[in-house]
Amino acid sequence: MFIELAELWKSNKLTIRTIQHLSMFGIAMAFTIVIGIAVGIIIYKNKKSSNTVFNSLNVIQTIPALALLVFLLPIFGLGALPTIVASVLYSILPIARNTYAGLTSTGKDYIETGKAIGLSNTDILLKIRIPLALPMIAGGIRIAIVFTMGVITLGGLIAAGGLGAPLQTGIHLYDKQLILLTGVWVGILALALDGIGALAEKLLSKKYSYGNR
Amino acid sequence: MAENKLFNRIESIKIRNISKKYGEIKALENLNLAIEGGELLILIGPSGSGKTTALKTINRLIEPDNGQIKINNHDIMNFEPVKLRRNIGYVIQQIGLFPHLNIRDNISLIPRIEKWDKNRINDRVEELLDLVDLPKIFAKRYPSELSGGQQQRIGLARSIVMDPPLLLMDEPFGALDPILRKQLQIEFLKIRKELGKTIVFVTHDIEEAFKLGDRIAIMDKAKLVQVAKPNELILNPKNDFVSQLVSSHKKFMHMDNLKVKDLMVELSNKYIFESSKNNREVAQKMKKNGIELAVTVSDSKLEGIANFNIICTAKNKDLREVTEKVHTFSPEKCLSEAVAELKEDKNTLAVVVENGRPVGLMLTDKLLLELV
Repeated sequence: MFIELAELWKSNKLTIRTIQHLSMFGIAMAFTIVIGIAVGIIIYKNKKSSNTVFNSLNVIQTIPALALLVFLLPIFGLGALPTIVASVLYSILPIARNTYAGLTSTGKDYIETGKAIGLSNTDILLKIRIPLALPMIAGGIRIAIVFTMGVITLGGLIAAGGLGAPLQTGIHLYDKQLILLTGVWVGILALALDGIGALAEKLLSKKYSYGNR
Repeated sequence: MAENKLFNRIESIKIRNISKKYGEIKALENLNLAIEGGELLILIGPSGSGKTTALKTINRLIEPDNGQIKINNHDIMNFEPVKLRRNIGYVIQQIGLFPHLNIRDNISLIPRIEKWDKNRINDRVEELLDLVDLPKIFAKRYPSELSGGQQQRIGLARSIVMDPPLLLMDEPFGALDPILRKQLQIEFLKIRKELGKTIVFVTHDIEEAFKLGDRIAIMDKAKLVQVAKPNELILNPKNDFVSQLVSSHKKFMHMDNLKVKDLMVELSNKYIFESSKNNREVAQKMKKNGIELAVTVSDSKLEGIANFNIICTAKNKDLREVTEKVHTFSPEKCLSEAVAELKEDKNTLAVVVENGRPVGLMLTDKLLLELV
């Protein structure tokens, strides 16, 4: 059975597909994290805009991922680029929301102490609010990991390559073994990445926990 | 070195007519208070009395609706808040050590922002850990690894890292268990002596106030009721509220805070006789004035005391010859110690002496009446 699976893996170039997949994932996540945290900080700074921004991000979230890919076709064409754009758009919300929540929920005592010892508002944001929000931001990133994994896999439909491609092949040829192999493999990857995220979140929470009070 | 020092020492803090309202609720009403440089002023009162609000106006954490605060005659509104606060240490009950920073980084947060060099920061951190009696290895620990008392010590260390001449403390020992609190109070008094800073200290614990305060400002319902030295509060409470708060009716509780001069009987001139005088003359005067005790002096300096009966039995002698030695106290002596000494000597009477001159009498029975 192992030989059979190995054959299947080889004939569908799953190694190269995995590399494609993960590189798309990596690029998408990098953008998502940077943009998500930035959006979170910007709306924290301009609280009035928070509703508008969250509503727009929510609207994007309600569009099915598949439809989002289709919407982006006229702009970005086929391939990896629209897939990455779609997954970024899709995954900004959880990170931005958690960043915002983390920044606004910093303990009042810490803020007041910070002020009282002579920190400026910028210092308080950079040295207190953001570090203390890190566990929550990590939680948002974990959700984004799962979202991104899903959208990247869907990218197979619009010729983005990655592990979506062999899945599509499997579906078209009704090759149950291939579907199962790729599906399980994507699942394992998703779980592993989520596991890494969970570990990071745990370490951050431990380090940045609110002490033993 | 550009140290951004606004003031090297505090000469005075003048709080003039400040008020603060939150909606309809008055947090402070026309507060007037003068704080002297170098003193430890306690702000005390029930919750909602405005004591914390008053404290926070000094470093502009709260800005009053009207009125003015001057430090060394500079209106604090003319200082930039961030700069002002770096010149004023601040310690709160909740400690507020940042959980994501180790002790070193917690203490050196502001020095790092002010770009001190690394060696200077390390030296200062070690110096402060030493001052608050914690081992140097604590620098690398995180707040969650420390006990409440240790965290509070670090909070104090952090507040003085910039060597501010003024320190604001908002119930710093409030969250600690009673025994630890007493211990930290004692340590704090020691540290205070070394530092010689002006301190404004908020508490709701009257015992703490008496133990630490040079003067005590009593607040109630957003107003200042009375500000005075501890013994004055006990002896002359302005109203029932103060009297209740300091339990002035139970003076025996305050033996440690009262001094001999607070409870002595002032000595009027009719009791004082030159020791060179003849007893016959003295006895006559005593009889006329209706007194039975003579305090004898020579050249205004105390010699001792003489009893009317003894004077009468030796009418041909000088007063000096019947004068007995007597226990003496300085007026500044702590009352509890004075009472203990009297008890040891089985005396019921002592003369209070200032610069050799008799100024008052301590009578144990009178004392008893005053105390209970």
